[in-house]
Amino acid sequence: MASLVFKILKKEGTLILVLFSFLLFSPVYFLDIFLIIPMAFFLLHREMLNLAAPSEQNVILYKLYGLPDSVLLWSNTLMILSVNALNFTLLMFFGLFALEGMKSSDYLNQLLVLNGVLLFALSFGNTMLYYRLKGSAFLILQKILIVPLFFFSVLLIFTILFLLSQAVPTLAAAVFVMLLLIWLTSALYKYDRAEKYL
Amino acid sequence: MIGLKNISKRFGTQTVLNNVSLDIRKGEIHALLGTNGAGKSTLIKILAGLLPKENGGIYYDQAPMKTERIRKIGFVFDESLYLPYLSAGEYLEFVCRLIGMGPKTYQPKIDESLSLFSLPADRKPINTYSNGMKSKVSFAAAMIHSPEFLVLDEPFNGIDFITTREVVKILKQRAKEGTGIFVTSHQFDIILELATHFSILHGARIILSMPREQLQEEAEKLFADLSAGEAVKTYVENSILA
Repeated sequence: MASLVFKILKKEGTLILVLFSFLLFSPVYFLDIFLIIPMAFFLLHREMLNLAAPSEQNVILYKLYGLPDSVLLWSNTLMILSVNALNFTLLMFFGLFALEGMKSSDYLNQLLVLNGVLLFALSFGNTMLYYRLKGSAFLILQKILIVPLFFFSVLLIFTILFLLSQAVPTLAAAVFVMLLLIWLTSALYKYDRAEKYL
Repeated sequence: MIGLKNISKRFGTQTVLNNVSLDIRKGEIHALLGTNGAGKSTLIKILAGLLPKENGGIYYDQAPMKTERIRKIGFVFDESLYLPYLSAGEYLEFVCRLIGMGPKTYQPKIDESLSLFSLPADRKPINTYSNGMKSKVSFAAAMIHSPEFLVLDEPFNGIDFITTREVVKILKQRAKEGTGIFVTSHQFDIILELATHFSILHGARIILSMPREQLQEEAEKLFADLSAGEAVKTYVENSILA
């Protein structure tokens, strides 16, 4: 399943957009290693919101044939891996050129904030997919509400995690663990067992 | 049997379906006829669970339709359903995976489907296929899990007569084997050749629903001077105009 999901994410352009978002904003790493996070998410919002269902065709397929856990889990995992691989590479690269050097705590804090926001965004996307599977396959109007709500909540989570990681890192870690549990619940939720037939 | 009972649907103030009831039995080829915008596609989308309905119920073997039962139905929509960047084999594999089949089960089925519909087994993506081949991919995916019913919405749109003939042959064979087929089409000649039961949707209601023999008998009584096919065609046209 992993290779098929990888092919779908690649062909839908999701993985390319992840690469593009981080490369486009890569000079921002020089200014602030945290600032890249909301910027990259701004470009990646469609992929995050509709991660496992980039098109209406997928939603219809899932409604008709089912959605095994492995599809969602693999698409989420591939997204996490690709974002982290790129971020890590860029952090290392710009870390080499940082004038004052980079503290390991800065590294860890950035990884914590990025992954916290990423897990939240994926949970949000998974929930939206579940909502589409339960309701009409043809969503139009709701997008007007969902996109601003997504941006607002992602920015809110980013701000909370960023401030906590600077002031009370243990609390930031606790919030991260909570987000990890929320994501796991959303990714492993038995979509196939849900009574989604209208 | 699939039972549609008193299905109603509105889009804004326009009533598209008004207490529509139909039964689709195993082994029959049930044709739903109607003019453009009569609500045939809407009815099929409701049956597939893609659109919500205002009221009414959908039943499978007398029990309310549930998620696991929808998997016993294969759907072909007016717009072909496929992932354009996958090859036919990969797309069929994806559908099999969604259904929950393991590689040992699905590989022979995929090989059989590719050969039955004369689809290429190479890695060329579906978006490079002709319209006829794209339609065949939709048919192959709808039939890969040997469903008890096939629901086809304008399945012959945009495909050439050779492909149509191939598909008609496969559908007739499936019906002989006991698969129930529910089909909508504008191409009356094909429907006339295929269907064993006719229903007409007009003015948001079912205005006629009867088996082929009964329809033919009544049509021939009224239009004795016409051939059997022409008589049925005229009878159906007159029913809609009336």
